Amino acid sequence: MKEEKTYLSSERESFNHLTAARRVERSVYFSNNKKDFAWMGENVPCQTACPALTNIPGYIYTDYQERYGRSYEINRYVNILPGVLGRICSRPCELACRHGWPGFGEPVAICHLKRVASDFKPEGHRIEEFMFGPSGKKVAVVGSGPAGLGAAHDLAIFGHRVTIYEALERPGGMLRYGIPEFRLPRDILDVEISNILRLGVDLHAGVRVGKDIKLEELLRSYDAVVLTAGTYSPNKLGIKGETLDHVYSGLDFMMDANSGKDVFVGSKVLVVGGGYTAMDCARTSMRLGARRVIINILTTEDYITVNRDELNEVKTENVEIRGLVSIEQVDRSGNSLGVRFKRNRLGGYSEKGERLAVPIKGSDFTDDADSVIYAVGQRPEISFVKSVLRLDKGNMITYDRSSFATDVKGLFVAGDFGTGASTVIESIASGRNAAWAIDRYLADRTRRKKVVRFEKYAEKQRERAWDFIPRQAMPTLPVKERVDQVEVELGLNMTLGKEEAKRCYLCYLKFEIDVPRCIYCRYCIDVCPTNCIHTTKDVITEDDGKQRLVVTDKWNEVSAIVIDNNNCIRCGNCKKVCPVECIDVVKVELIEQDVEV
Amino acid sequence: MPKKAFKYVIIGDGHAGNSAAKTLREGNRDAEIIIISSKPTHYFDHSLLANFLLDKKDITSLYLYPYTWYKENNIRLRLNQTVTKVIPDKHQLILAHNERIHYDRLLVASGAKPKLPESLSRYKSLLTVFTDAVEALKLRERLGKLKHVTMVGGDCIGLHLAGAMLKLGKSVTFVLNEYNFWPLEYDEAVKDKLIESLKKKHIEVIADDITTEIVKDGTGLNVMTKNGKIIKTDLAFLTSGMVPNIDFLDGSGIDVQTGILVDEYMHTSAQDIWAAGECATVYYPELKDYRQTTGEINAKVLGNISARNMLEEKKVVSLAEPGKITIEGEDFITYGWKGFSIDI
Amino acid sequence: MTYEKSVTIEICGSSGDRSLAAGEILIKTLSDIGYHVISFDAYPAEIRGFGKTVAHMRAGREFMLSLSRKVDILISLNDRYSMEQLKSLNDEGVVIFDNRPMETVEENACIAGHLGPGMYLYGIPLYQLSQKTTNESRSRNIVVLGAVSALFNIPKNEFINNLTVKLGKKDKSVDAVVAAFEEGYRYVSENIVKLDPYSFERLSVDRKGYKLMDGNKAVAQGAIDAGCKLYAGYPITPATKIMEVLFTELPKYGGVVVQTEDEISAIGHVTGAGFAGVRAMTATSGPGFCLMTEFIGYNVMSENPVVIVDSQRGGPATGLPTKTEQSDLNHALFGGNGDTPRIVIAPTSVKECYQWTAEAFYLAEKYQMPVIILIDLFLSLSVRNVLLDPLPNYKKSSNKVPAQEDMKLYLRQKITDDGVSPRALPGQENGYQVVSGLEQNEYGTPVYDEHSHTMMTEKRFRKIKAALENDVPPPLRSGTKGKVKLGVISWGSTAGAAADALDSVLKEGRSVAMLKIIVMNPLREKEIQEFLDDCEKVLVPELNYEGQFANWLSMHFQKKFYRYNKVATRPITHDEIEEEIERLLKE
Repeated sequence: MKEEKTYLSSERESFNHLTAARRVERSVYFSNNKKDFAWMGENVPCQTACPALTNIPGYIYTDYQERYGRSYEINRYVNILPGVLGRICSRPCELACRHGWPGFGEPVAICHLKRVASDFKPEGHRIEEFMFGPSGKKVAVVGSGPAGLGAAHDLAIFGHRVTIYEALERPGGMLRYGIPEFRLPRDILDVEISNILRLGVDLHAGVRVGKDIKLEELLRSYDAVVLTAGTYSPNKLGIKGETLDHVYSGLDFMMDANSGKDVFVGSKVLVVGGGYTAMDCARTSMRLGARRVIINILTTEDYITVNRDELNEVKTENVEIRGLVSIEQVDRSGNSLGVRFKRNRLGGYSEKGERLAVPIKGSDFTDDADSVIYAVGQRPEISFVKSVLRLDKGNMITYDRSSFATDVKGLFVAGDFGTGASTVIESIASGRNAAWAIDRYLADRTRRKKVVRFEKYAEKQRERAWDFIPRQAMPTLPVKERVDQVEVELGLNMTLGKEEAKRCYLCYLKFEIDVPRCIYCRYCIDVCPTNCIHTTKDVITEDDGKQRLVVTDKWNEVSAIVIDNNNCIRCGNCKKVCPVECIDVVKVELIEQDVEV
Repeated sequence: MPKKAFKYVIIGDGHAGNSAAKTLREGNRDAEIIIISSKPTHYFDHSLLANFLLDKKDITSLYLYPYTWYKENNIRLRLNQTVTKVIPDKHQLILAHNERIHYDRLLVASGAKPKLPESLSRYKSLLTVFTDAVEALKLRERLGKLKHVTMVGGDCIGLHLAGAMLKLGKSVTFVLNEYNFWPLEYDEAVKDKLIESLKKKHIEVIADDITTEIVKDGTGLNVMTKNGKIIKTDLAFLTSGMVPNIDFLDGSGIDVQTGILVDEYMHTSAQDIWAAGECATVYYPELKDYRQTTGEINAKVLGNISARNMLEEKKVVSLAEPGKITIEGEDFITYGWKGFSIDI
Repeated sequence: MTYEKSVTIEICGSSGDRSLAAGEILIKTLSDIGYHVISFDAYPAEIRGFGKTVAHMRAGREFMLSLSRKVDILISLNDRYSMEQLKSLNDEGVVIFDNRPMETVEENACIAGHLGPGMYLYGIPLYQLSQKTTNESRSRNIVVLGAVSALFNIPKNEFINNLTVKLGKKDKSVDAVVAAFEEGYRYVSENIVKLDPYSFERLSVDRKGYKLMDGNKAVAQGAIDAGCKLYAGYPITPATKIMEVLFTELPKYGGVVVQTEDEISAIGHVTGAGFAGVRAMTATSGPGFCLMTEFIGYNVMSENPVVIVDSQRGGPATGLPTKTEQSDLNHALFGGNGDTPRIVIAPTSVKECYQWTAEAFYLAEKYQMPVIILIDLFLSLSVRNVLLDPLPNYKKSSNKVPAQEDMKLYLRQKITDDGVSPRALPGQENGYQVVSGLEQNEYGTPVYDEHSHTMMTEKRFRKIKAALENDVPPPLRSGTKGKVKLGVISWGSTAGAAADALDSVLKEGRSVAMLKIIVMNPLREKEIQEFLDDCEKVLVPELNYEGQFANWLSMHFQKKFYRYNKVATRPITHDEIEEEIERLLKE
């Protein structure tokens, strides 16, 4: 009750101060201009980095306003599973965050703020869906992982009749069987999946396409079929001893552990591999009773895909990391396993940009272990489509990456099944994009599009002091209490969440100097902390819509004073000092809109 | 060989950095030499640090060179200035106070810092570290209030410190983990000897255990272990070994594996950058293994070798004479801590 | 070590960094906790715009009168300017700088790269802490005060007290500023370990009644206490502050301040007031003093009391408006046409500025002539803590009034033994008189005969003699008694440096003595001669090129004067004189 009161007093009252006329003035404008898309792309780096193009400043600001339900919805419109992603997203946005740019400090904890929205949305929070009328078309989705769920959701919205075929017992794919419960509690997953199923999606779980039902049969009975079957085939090490007892592939190990099977790990576990699965295997081993777990990686910690926070959690659980080693072979010696390694040195880079490791001759050494888990990647299990589809040299399905269409009419591919292992957020985005493509195919026209929305922003919403708030650390369980599948990350509480939300620069705000009103006093330049305001000769628009300033310090050449929004941290100092109030602030957002016939 | 008036920048004001500076100056009279250190104090002898607690001497008594030495040798000291970034492509460093420094050749000799196990990172503010002169000064002021101290983890710095603490009449508890006593990785036999040796000196030893939690208890602390022990203590020292102090290399593209990876000429993976001392990881063919060396002698040798290579003398690194740690009269080989004895 | 005696602190920034405001609070605080302080700020010559400003102060446990050459603690609010100050920092000095500034700078554009190996560098994120607490960067000066308080053990409460008093009701954001101070204090307490030796714990001395003031304020206070009722002047650096103080203060005592159109008008006002029997004063600097010269002669001739303060600055002409010098002595002694006896007073300290300004009124009125007070920019602007002695009552009125029987036939210029003729003030019955700049007879009637001119000139010079005998105290001798190897004679603010220097060399056991001369004309020749006879060598340090005072002495005494002259644009420091003394002793 107390919290509700603060919400009302702080936020609603401030709205009431607006006169009716002022409220009417809140005019909105939509644009299709490529300049504006280019501005969004350059200026809201987090959103651009997000495969699903989540409106990150938008939801962080609503978090700050304590409008958690709204924040959750802003997320859900585009990324479907905010509660899930708020925990396990790979966070490409945080790498791009302007707050993390050199000299500005650490990136905003974007992911954790997503969880804040999910955790604190009001009870019985209302889901908003904008459903099209029934189309009479039927679509089958093969696989209920993130890509399948994303596709099913959007297809259902478009009014199609969707059926999901899931080979395993329960829906969720890797979310349920790959990711351990201590990172993603299953009740959260269940609720968010059921929100999709509630749109009229049929789920056939425990039905393996190819075995229980032929793909050809699906193609016959449905107007379209989308394959989102993920990557369920673990890569092999190709070494001696790989098939010994107590030598597991990471995928099998995790699937068994996640389905509650009793898996032997022993007291000392050697994990091989540097991905998230390897980390999950190591942490799960610790929970299954191992005393010492060493993760062996080919290169060094700098060159593995796992982010620093995760690596830190792994080490917190007293897992050790051994860099620059290659596994050579595994032998059984008595009760335990003898694992031979070579030391590596770092080599050059592969074509894909991965750092290479080169084993050093004669540097062999042996370590013993009770079990060995290798988690060195996984790929699609494609046996069931071989009869229908063409494969490329790398044994991957050939399909058009923009229309998601295969050579077979009505058969589409999305998510990891097409691209190989990627991230949850990429898969969701891929599933949704495929749904739009399928709708274009079924309806024979584009029914949804992205536009840029402008809204005048009357007041500066941030304080300069907020730029100096440090990143709020995620509270976690003490190591002692990390047993079984208790969730490790506790989530930011409301106070911490609000502090963290304050840190966001709100890059979707565009600060612009209205040239006719500007008197060239340059006060704004004096107070600008980042040198982003320039005396400018010209602004050139490139072919891709990006704008480039031609800066000059010769006074007779200056035609305008321009704010370079790409270096701007939206501190508002300029607006505060401008004597003629010629600096306007506009909120710019990328939104989805219906296309009228 | 004609020597260009290079600008040599050295990060670190310890044994490696100073020995390199000295060699560089001898090899090139005209070069510009700059030492940058995040510490406010001058180059000093770490082995005297524990004894520094015992008397009321001035901090300058620890210094190895008078400051005039740097004037005479035309070596510029930038103390209390932290390097936050290295940009090898531009031959630039960025300091914490937003100053860009250019170098022709760079030596990273930033040494090591106490290892904070990630599982204890949330208790960082409750743990005391003891590696530099500033920390020694701070500790000396608090000494009077201490009766009992706990060493979280086992390392040689902790031993030094324990020696001083015993002399000051404080009681000491060690919490040792199962796998090593830095810089030794030990087997059961060594471990037993070590424990025996410590106990003889009336040091309480909690072996095969890990500190999991530290909580404030009045003015003191409660140190709790995985096996459920609770140690009531006044001060908990972080003595779990040392790790290279190279956070500022993040994003520089320089290859790192715990320490900075260098080739046999002490050269890093980045052009014109060398590394020496405790921050460097060297692959020693003799050992078939990578190693970060510790201790004064190694640092001096590596600093010297790096400097010679920076002067283009092509000097190959070799394993310094191994030292030994003596425990209960028995010697154990170690690369570093020459002639160090656990029999305090 | 030197810091045991005194510590010199500089706060250096660009104008707009408010380094002087910080200096003011710091010096007040140091004074409050028992230190002797002396400050001397430097700021750009331009009236507006950017430039270096330096709050410079010396604080010590012992009494002192001058600045040191070396700085011990340099606080940088602007690295570009502070780097220039580094050359005067002592080898083991302290530098405080902003280690988290807003912009990235090129190598060596930051002070941190320029320190000697023995110096101590403390970095404090001034900009960030200022932004954090006050939402603007301009409070860096306050944050740094917090840091200084923690770093050098200066009691915090005094600081906050002075901070709030200074901001007073003027500023609503006092709380934010105090928060900025606390933030600086907290940052240092939590993050910095002190390695340098400087420390200012509270001294157990009673500073009750002590006031912080600069020479200008002391002059103004002296004028008020001496009963000055009219001040007329035209603003000029460095004398303007005298007028500023009097603007607010003088009306409270029934006085009037007039800002005139120029300096000629100003002294005209004062002359008129003098005629009317009102104590009046004007203050100016070199260029303005030149304009007043004609009136010096006029007041000598018409035997009218005026008090003129000349705060000397670098010359000639407009010269160096913000730099100190002692080069107006010739002008003060000789300026004007004809034989023009006048009294010239040169106080050596802020306290003497007060005493001798009051004395000047007394002398001017008593001897009916112009009295010139020569101070200099350094004395004018340097702030010190002083305890003022109250002025004896008899000094407040010294007009020699004619007896009633003399009024039947009033002789304005009556010949008397001491040359002083009783003066009837306007309104006194039968007190008619002719006042002009023409030579006159006893009635005041203009005449040009030999007899009258000779008689009147002698009479005017007799007043000087009378003043010398009755009212000029003998110059103060200090140092070794009896015969000495070296004597120092000094004047004005340089005498302060000489006194400090003497303290030091005496501690070294040198045989030296010093004579401090305050009244430059008339000179106490007998005492000075005695002193000269005691000294093997005599050193005269002064801040001008020719040695104007040494020349003046040479006109009176047969002795070789060793001159130590500088036109350094800054005061001569005690260490410089110390070195010169040692050099002469060795020679």
